Amino acid sequence: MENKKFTLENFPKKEIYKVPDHYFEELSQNILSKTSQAKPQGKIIPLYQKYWYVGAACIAATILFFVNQNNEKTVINDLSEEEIVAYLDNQSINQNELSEAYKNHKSIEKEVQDVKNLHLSDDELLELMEIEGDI
Amino acid sequence: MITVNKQYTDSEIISLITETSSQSKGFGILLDKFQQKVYWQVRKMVVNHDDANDITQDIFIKIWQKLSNFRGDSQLSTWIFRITYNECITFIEKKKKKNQVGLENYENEFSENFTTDVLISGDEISLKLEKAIQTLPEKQKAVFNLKYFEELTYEEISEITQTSVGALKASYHLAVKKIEYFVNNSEVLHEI
Repeated sequence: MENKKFTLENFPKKEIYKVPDHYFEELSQNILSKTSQAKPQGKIIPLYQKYWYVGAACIAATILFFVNQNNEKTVINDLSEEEIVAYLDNQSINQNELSEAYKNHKSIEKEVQDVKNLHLSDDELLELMEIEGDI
Repeated sequence: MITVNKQYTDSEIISLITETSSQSKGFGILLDKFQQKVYWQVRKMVVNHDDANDITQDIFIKIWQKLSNFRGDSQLSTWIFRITYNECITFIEKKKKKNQVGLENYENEFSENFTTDVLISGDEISLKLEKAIQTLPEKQKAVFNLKYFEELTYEEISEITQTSVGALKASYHLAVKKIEYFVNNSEVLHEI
């Protein structure tokens, strides 16, 4: 493995998680003993309430998206090249770390390009940001 | 526990659970068919067996309580996996808030589990792979697990997570890149 690059495609799927002996038999019994005490009951959310939730979520996501974009622009625009160099000097970053950061940057650039190639809509991009934990 | 000799199809189970008189029988069959799938999905999300056990029980109790709401608009498995997905995300978010821990500490807790939990064992690369998966944001981790381990289609995952297929494709692609990078550079990442 040390000399070979790991790729998911070439790696056999293996299960590393285990359960105690007879666990699933006990699990069934536990669940059935709990459900036998309570009858199933439905709680239906009225349609207008569902739409209200969706609307509120969309507005919140849109606001956050623009706030994030504006914040990033401000931070980057406010820094001069000298300030960035001075900041890096103060961080006492060694050559290996810089080289690692450069490789990361290159890798991110490729990923950004890959995502661009998918031609996502604005809504899909927002969803992607949400999954990625950016908003 | 109900012993199921016959392999029931999803539509047969649905017929049983939608009739009040056969609801209990239908639920027993549903439990038998889906409990392991649900447990493993949860376990891969939360790592710890005790947590996975609690969440799995809660999920099936919720399924039992919501049986009357199931209208058959989606597949039975999709409906169950959607409840599973939502419960896992809710649990992780609650745990993070409760412990007031950041992502970094939460990941440290996972790392501890990997070294001390007797119910986790595997070769070095498999453990590294699982650790890499655990570094993903929770929603991305769920998407990755559903695609990679469960081998569901993007359309099915889209129904479960209520996310567009396009965003899922991009998210899975990025997850694979992150995981491969982590496994290939894990020593470097541990130092950071």
